[in-house]
Amino acid sequence: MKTKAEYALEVEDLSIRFPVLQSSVHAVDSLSFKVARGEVLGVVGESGCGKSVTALGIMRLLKSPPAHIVARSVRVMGRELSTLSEDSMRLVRGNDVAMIFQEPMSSLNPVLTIGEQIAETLTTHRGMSWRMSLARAVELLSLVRIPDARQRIDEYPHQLSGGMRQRVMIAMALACEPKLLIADEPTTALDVTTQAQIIRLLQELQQRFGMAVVLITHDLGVVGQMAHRVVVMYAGCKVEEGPIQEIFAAPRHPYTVGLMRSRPRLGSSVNGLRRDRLLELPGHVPTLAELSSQGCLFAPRCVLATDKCRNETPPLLGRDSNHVAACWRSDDLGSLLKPLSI
Amino acid sequence: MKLLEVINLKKAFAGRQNNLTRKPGLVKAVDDISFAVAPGETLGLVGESGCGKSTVAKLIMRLLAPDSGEVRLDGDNLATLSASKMREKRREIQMIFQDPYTSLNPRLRAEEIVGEPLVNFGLVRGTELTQRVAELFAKVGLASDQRQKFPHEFSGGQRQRLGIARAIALNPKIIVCDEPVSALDVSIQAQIINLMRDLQQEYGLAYLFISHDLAVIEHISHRVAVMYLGRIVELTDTQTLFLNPRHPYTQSLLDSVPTLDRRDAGQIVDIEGEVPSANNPPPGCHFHPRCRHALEKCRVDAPALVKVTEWHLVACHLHSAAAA
Repeated sequence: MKTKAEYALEVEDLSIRFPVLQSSVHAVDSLSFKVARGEVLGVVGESGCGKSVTALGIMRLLKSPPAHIVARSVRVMGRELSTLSEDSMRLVRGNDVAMIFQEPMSSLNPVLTIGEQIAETLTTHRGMSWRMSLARAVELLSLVRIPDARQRIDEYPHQLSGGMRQRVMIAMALACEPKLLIADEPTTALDVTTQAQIIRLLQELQQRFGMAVVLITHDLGVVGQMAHRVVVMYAGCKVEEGPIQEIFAAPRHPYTVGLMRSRPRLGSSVNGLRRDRLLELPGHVPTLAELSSQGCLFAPRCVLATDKCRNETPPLLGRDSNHVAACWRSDDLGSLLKPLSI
Repeated sequence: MKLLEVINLKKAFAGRQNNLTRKPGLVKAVDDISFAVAPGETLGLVGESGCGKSTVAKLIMRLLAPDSGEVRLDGDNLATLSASKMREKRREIQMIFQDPYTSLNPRLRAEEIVGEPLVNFGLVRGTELTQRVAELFAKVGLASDQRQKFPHEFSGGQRQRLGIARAIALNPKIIVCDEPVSALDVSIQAQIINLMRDLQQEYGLAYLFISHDLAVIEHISHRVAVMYLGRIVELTDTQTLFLNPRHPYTQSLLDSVPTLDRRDAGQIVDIEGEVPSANNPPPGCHFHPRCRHALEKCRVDAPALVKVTEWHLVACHLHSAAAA
């Protein structure tokens, strides 16, 4: 067993609620997970499942109110964040924990040069002089393989392509050598060839600095490429968690199966699978207001759902603590889904 | 047999002004493109953002006027057809858009949206119209009690179903689909893709299916054309393209896709550089600055799209020698 300090991030019972009219809806419902040092954890789910709001909640970047955030504990490198004052929290962001977002253009300041934005991080957190910070900014831009870094530091975000902007975001995130990087859909807005470059870059930097990474994405392919472990989220809850090979080889939640099999696979025309229908998950991702308070949240869309599923909330269980799923029918999953398998 | 034929289609837009000459630049969004779609066939058009694939769709639908070239539907050149003739032709060619949130009139009820083309062409009315709309709702998997709802009351997938119902209302021969599933969640994408394939089988529809998503393109297309900076660089049947891609750009595209299966088989391969600006594309073959195999003449001469086998067209100097 690992001791507590060996985890870069420990989240216990994080719940985030938003008020709606007279009542409130939960965006995240008692979510717990841990990320070991140097580990890449993929957080997967469709839009509205709470994956981004989780990241923002951890970073305390949600405006509260309206957001109502409760957590038993959020620890980064063993240090409790949930009780920190806002001033102390500012010292954590960008320093111990850094974050990159989906759309780099809206996360960069359009009226500052990229050199100034990177240097700002360093003067704030490291107390470096402006000249030294700018010199370090050039190093960081070279690190993320931006050509002609010395000239580029004087450019503004609008002068860069989408891929280059994301590289700048990564350079900023790495400026203070954080122990934990939260990457929220870092490649979703990019073209596929640029996406491949950014994935490769993140992988190299993660290994080089031994950073822990929380990789939030809807794309199982991206997770497959980078993550060691995966958390699958549905409607604000963790429905499955496990090592990546196990999840892909033997998923234990029907939603995970649905996510994997509803995507056409590359190479399907070559191995003769193309004529098969894609596995459909009936219905749609529920809006937060539609969620029922009892039973399995996925039951209305699940082909395997029984009365028990509709009435009793399944706990997260597994054959071992490594790979758990919130499904009453985990053990029947393989045999029941076989006829549908492609 | 050819249903839709695109011949030497060209479209350029005014680009950024040249700093020295003060002449406006020219962005060749679609640069001499030709292809054909047979009845009942799906032709996939794949490429990264800015390659001109959506412009091709708009040119075909005559939402944009081409600079030169022809778009033939059953032999008639849509680009030069009179307005009234074109109106008649639109019954045969319909379009589905990427964003079901902005392509439906927010002030019309669902049944009005789906019935509008029928009313427009004066085909049916009264109870017959109601009946036909109900049929269309059933066809695309929408419940009939949703007919009175407005677009904002539907989810993204349901809105795309509405868009499809509207497109098939006139029994078209071909539907131009511009990124029809890109805005949808994965679990919803599967529903729409399956629906589109069912409709194709039932009505013998042809699709021009435009997407940046290679896995989706592979799943749905019979043949695939790959575009790069306004030109088609490779065109062949789906299996050949994914098994034996000949153009270095196609090869790089396929190597770039992260998949579940590839983790053990090795890493994704990334190619150097980025898609250059269409404002100032490289001379010769547009892909040469990123190409591992670039030859001297790739920097000067743009390779023509030539046959390497009977069914396989490639625009690359590495292969044109073999074809000659």
